[in-house]
Amino acid sequence: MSERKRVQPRQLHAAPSPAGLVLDAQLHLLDRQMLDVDGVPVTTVDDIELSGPEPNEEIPEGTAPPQITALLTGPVLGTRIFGGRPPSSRLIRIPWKVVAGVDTVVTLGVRADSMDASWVERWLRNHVIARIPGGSHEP
Amino acid sequence: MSKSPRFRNVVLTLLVVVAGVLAGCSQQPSADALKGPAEEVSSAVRAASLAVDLRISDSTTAAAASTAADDMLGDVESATKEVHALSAQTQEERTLRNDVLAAFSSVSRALLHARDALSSSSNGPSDGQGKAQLSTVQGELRAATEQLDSLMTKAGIQ
Amino acid sequence: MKRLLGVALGILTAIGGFVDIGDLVTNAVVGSRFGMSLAWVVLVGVVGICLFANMSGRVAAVSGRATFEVIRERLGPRAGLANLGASFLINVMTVTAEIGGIALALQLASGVAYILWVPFALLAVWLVVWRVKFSIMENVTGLVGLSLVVFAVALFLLKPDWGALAGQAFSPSVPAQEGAGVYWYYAIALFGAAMTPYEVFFFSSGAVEERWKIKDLAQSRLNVLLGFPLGGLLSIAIAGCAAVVLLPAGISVTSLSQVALPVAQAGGQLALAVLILGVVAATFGAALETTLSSGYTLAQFFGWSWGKFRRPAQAARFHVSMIVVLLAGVAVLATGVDPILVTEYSVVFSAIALPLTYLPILIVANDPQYMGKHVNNRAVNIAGVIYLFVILVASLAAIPLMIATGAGA
Repeated sequence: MSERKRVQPRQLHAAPSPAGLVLDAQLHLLDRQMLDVDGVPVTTVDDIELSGPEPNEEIPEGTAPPQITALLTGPVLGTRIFGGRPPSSRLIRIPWKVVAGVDTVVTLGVRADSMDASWVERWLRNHVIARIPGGSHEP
Repeated sequence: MSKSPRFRNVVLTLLVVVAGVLAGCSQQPSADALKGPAEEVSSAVRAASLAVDLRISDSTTAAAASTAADDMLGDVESATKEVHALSAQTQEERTLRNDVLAAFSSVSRALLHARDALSSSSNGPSDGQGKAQLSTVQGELRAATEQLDSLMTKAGIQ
Repeated sequence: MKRLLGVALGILTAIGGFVDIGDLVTNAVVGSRFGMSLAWVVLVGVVGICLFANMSGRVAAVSGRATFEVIRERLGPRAGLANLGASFLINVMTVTAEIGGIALALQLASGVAYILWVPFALLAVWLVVWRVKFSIMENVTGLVGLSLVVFAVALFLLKPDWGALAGQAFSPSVPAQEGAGVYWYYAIALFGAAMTPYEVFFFSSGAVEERWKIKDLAQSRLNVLLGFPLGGLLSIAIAGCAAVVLLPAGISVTSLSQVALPVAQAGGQLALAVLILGVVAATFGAALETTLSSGYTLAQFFGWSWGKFRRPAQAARFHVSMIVVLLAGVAVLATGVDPILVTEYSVVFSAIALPLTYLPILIVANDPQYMGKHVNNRAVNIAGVIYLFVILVASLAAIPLMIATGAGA
């Protein structure tokens, strides 16, 4: 905990009234399934990365509001369950700009195979499943 | 939700407790402690007897009947182990335990014979020799059942 | 005509698919020890599984989302993971029991020790999971499993005193030679066997696999509402056969070979052959369902691509995890543990974990974001809440009863 007193801005502006869909990150993003452009499941939204000031940093007046820069997946899920913070090199990031839509699932505008998030799937496909006869046949 | 860790703890405790119960806290061979194993063996010998009856009337196959006899042999073995684990304190308890073990071993012997006769009866009971053999083991099973039953009545296990 | 055939097929497979090794063993044990005095539990269990299977089928058809995706979204990662752990553990236990069941049935047919059949059963189950189409898999095992009707036929051939059986069933009481604790312990086991959670995971994921839409709901409701009660009737017939033949003879069931005795007595070798066929099909079908269920739960929690409608290469993690589960089950059997014992524990642990599965389904079936106008109506909600209470009581009572009775000894 920081000992510093929290700095309050002298004058609070009312929140801008949003135009369009309002999303609650906790309710509508976290733990949602992500599908790629072909409707193939990729992973789940395990955490969210925001731009903007670090915690406990003073926020000067007029700073741009934080924005979602990426959806995170992978080992970061463990930190939501058990606490702690992962090193940023271990994060698997899905840049927000590839997100095409948010509904009961999050749809992405790219193919799963082009993303870092699906490396385990690709590794197992190439090293295990492809070596078993019949692995790439239509069921 | 606070329920999940609690659930996990409960399951762990449960596993430990069950293991403890199954491992058998060293008991004395009272009528109470012998009740479980004796009933198990009594059920086993009756099931084998029924299997032999069904085989004699050609209602079941050699494979199914000998499997039943084999399964029952396994039950008697585990019951015998259970009784062996009891530690007798007095002379009386020792006698009772030995009587029960003797009854178990005659059941076990009869079951072995039954299993062998059943698995070699694949020619069908029309085969005269096979039928005679099955009747012999049936007699043996009945005798072992009676021995166990009278012992259970005498010791007040029921 | 084709539509009627489809309806009939659905109902028949639901009947054949209802009974698995857990129902088979638990009902026979209960029949041989308590007669028909626990038949009411099967009834309670069947109504419950109808209620919740219907609900999860509706959630899947309307939202296109299977149960476990929704469980994580609604409960969050922590409670979701605990739920996954418990469900997965029980799934693996049930896979183990079902594979053991296949092997035991094959032993009954051949006389060759069951342990030698285990690798064969493993390979057969995996091949079907790997290559066979979902609908073919469901229909074949369900239809062949229907030969378990032989239990009902056997019960008629045994010419029991129907009045006495009905008396035991309608005015249940604890038999003199058994304690009340044991009676309630088996009541919970029977409840767990009838309401096995894997059926719900499987049912909802199956709805996604077969791409159910809202218009398919009427058919699915019919399958459930007719198929499951008839399957329950079959369970009661299993208990009935044991109650008529084994209970009076002083035999309490500890093995599958004993379950077959009354059927052989009633119908001879022909009935025995049909029984073995039915047991193999039922346990094989259930082994497939539980293996797939463990893959479904893992994949849906972590967001992997899953489903038998995809090529294995398009669902690599899903298929690898199922291979691991099957190998784990076989490793357990290789220790020589009695599959019947595994079965008996798996149904009780299922009962303990029931609230974990059924509470999230009830919550989501009321969420308009997923369900639109197809949210639960009031009557279903009242029934659901009542059942949730029953499930909770059974779940909480299971562990103390297990300790007090030495697991029903």
